[in-house]
Amino acid sequence: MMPRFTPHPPSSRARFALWATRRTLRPLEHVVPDGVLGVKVTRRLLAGMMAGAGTSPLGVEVTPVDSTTERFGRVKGEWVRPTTPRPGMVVLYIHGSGYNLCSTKTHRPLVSRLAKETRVTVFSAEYRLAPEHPFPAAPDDIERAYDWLLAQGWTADQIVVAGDSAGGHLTLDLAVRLLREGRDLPAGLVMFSPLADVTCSLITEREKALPDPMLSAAGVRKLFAHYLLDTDPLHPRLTHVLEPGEVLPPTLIQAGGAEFLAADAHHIADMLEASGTDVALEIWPGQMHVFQAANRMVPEADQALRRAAKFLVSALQASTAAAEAKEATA
Amino acid sequence: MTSKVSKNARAIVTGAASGIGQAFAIELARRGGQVVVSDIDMVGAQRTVTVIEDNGGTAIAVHCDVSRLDSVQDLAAEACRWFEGVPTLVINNAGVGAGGNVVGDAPMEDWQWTLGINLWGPINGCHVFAPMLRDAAAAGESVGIINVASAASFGAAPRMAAYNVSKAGVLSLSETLAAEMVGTGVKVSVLCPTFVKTNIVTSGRINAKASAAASRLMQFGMSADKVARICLDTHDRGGLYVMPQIDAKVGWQIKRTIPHTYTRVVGLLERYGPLGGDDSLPETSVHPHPVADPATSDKEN
Ligand SMILES: NC(=O)c1ccc[n+]([C@@H]2O[C@H](COP(=O)([O-])OP(=O)(O)OC[C@H]3O[C@@H](n4cnc5c(N)ncnc54)[C@H](O)[C@@H]3O)[C@@H](O)[C@H]2O)c1
Repeated sequence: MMPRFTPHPPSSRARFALWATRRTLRPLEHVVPDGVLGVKVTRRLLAGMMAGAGTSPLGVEVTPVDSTTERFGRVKGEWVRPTTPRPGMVVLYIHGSGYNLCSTKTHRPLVSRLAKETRVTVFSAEYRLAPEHPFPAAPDDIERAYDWLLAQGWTADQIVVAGDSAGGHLTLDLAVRLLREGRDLPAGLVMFSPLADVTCSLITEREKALPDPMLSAAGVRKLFAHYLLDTDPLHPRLTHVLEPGEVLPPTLIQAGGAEFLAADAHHIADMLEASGTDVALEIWPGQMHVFQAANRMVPEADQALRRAAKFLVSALQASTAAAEAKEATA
Repeated sequence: MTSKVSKNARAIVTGAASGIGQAFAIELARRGGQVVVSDIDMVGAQRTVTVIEDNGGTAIAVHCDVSRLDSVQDLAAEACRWFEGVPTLVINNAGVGAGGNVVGDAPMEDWQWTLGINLWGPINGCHVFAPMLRDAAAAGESVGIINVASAASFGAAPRMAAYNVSKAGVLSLSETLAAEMVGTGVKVSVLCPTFVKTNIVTSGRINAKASAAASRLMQFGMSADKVARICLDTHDRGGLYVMPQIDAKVGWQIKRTIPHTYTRVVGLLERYGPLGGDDSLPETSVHPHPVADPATSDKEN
């Protein structure tokens, strides 16, 4: 059993990080140009920032994957393997992107720390991004990566799907899709600062109460516009509405109290709970977006990641045990 | 005894589902307080509570219509139960925007509605809470009361009579209360901002044309959280008048030095200035203003 989450006031380093970010990053948004050029500038900026905020652990091996087969098309990503991986378990990790930014490379430190902490092998998936590739390129790529994992010999009960930000949105989308297609569901889901509402109305309401230290709702809306183009944001694969009884695998959601997606995290947790899913929501006071990645800046990054690792491993253990028991009685 | 009122307060904020009230509630929780978030909009009030709890603070949402005395009395009872004691800081913030018509054209129900909330709200709040605060101060606690008026309380801008009157009343109420509280230990402040970026224009009864102009001005407004921080700091220092913006301070000084000239200039500005319509015809319609003028209709949505 996981120890209960008891929110603590943010550490002094976290308070400093919040203060410093509000004064340095937020003003940057006014300097970065709009449109495709802005996306390119931001990609560079973010890569530098993420490299500065987190550290990569030793003893984790990264192997790139770029496979094109007739059955799955192109699957890109990387294996991230701890020294002594637990057998018969794997994580599909979907990095955050705002649907425009970042890559497996920017998220390699975070994913490596997750692999080391869980001792579970991770497949960190690459997916196509806007503005070059709008919806539905991203969720299609993720579903292909999942099917490709199954074809490597893994079974659904051996897989946990995890993701941050837009990667959390894609995690939800994949799970809902598998459920509605009547397929086996993964052992569990982990979402760090997940996105739920691409219309940005939750982000806008939250911003009025507590502006995010990094970015504005207007900035996020511009990024999403590249991804959505003419697609109705209420499209069922963009706005997920679970009916009661549509039960997803056990889910852990973590988000920062000071961030723009906190209301989105609440929304997903409420929806999953109403549908009958076993869901745990942890909002970490005073923390920023995907603070788990910033272990060089805030001590809460490791604390939260450790909790996520514990959840993830016990979900995998429970589901593989259940699968074995089923096999034994069959 | 000498500790700051805004620190670790047992606070009640009215109209805390949105705007300045929401900012007060969040800032007070950040300063360690237990906050009663009250409003007629319970969805918004709950949203404020969630933001506070997400950041490790303590708050509850309580329904209260400030224009009704019994509702404010219920709020006091509910808050005292939750605090297990009396409040130490009350912020009478709830208020609505109204305007666009000159005196004589403004519908009487707008007068009643505006005065009912903006003036009777703080009157009810002071009536119910002043005795409690006096007792708490006598028991040695740091206590205070903040009434949210507006620069309109002395600005006398045309086409806003009901609003101006309500806010002038709040200013006078606060000054009187401050005089009465001298020596009791209860601090009294009155907040008089000009433009603050909130939902007040879109949620009030302001006719289309005036609301388009107000929305434009609003963009230059101060953020609600900054206003709340400045106000709480001034209150802690014992300041009665809180004017967070320079334009309010300047207007206040001019009005007090040359009141007659001030009023004439404001009137002329309204008629011929950049904000006023150059039409000399008064607006005759009641809210919601039917879209008649194609030049303004596109600014509404
Ligand atoms: N925004 C400005 O530019 C500005 C300037 C000067 C003064 N003010 C004053 O600040 C105060 C707050 O306004 P705001 O700008 O945050 O507006 P807002 O509209 O964003 O918030 C006002 C809140 O009061 C609530 N409310 C309305 N009627 C109520 C009632 N009868 N009982 C309880 N709650 C009620 C509303 O539901 C809303 O949540 C008001 O008194 C307003 O007059 C605002």
